[in-house]
Amino acid sequence: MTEKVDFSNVHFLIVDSNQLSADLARDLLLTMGATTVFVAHGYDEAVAALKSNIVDVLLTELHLPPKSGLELIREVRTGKTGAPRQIPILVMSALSAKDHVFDARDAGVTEFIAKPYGVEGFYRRMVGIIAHPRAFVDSDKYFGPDRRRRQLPYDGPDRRQ
Amino acid sequence: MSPAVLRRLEAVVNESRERFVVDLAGRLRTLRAAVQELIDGNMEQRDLLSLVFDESLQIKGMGGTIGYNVLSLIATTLNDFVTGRTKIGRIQFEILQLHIDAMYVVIADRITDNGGILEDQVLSGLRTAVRKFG
Repeated sequence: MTEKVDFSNVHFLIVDSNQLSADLARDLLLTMGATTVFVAHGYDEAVAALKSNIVDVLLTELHLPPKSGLELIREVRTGKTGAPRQIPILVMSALSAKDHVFDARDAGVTEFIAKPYGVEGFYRRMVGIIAHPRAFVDSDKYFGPDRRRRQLPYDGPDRRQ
Repeated sequence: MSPAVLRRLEAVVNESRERFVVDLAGRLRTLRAAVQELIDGNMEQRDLLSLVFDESLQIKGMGGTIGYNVLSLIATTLNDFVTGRTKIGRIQFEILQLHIDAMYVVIADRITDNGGILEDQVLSGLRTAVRKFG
């Protein structure tokens, strides 16, 4: 089923040290109907953009030398950037080994797109995070989207009633 | 996703393809120059490996997006090979050079998608070398 999402009122921030990759993601978003897309090429620029603009969706690379995209994600989720803690965060990274994906998940990302990516996957992820926002978990050790993707039967002890 | 939207998004990628190819070629030139610097004794192994890690990661991320899947696959093997490495021996250095040379051929001959039988064999050979000497 084709889902229609209006991206025109969604403000995006793309954080990628690779200018061409950032430009491509921006052009794809604009083609999808977005009207406001900010671009930052590093950690400090990203924090400044988050502080001075309204950002509804953050797209970030994990590899942001000399810092890491994970640091940026943690800063957002702990409310240190001024951006709402619950904004959807989408990682777009070539650092796509299992460990990196798990680290990103545990830092509170909403979705992960491994580079290289195709336009269909990019579009689907964007529609997904706008049309189907995920429930948030706020606990002592974690703040971010519910990391459970599946409902598995559980009959062990301590089962919630 | 409607076919019309897909066509528009693919057109965006097509428009940026040439800029990506030029950028990728530049990154490969940088890698070759760095290899030569190491051979000439003007660069430390640690610095070369750090540069190779960064550049191969970028090449991996960019190649497949514009249809150069085989380039991304070679860059992935190279990136895995240098990850966490600060020193290399002679054989490892040759493996590193082979990866760079193979990526050069892919860009120079504009080998898109997954390439053909030859590219498959090259990739398989590189992976075997990495497994054996990595």
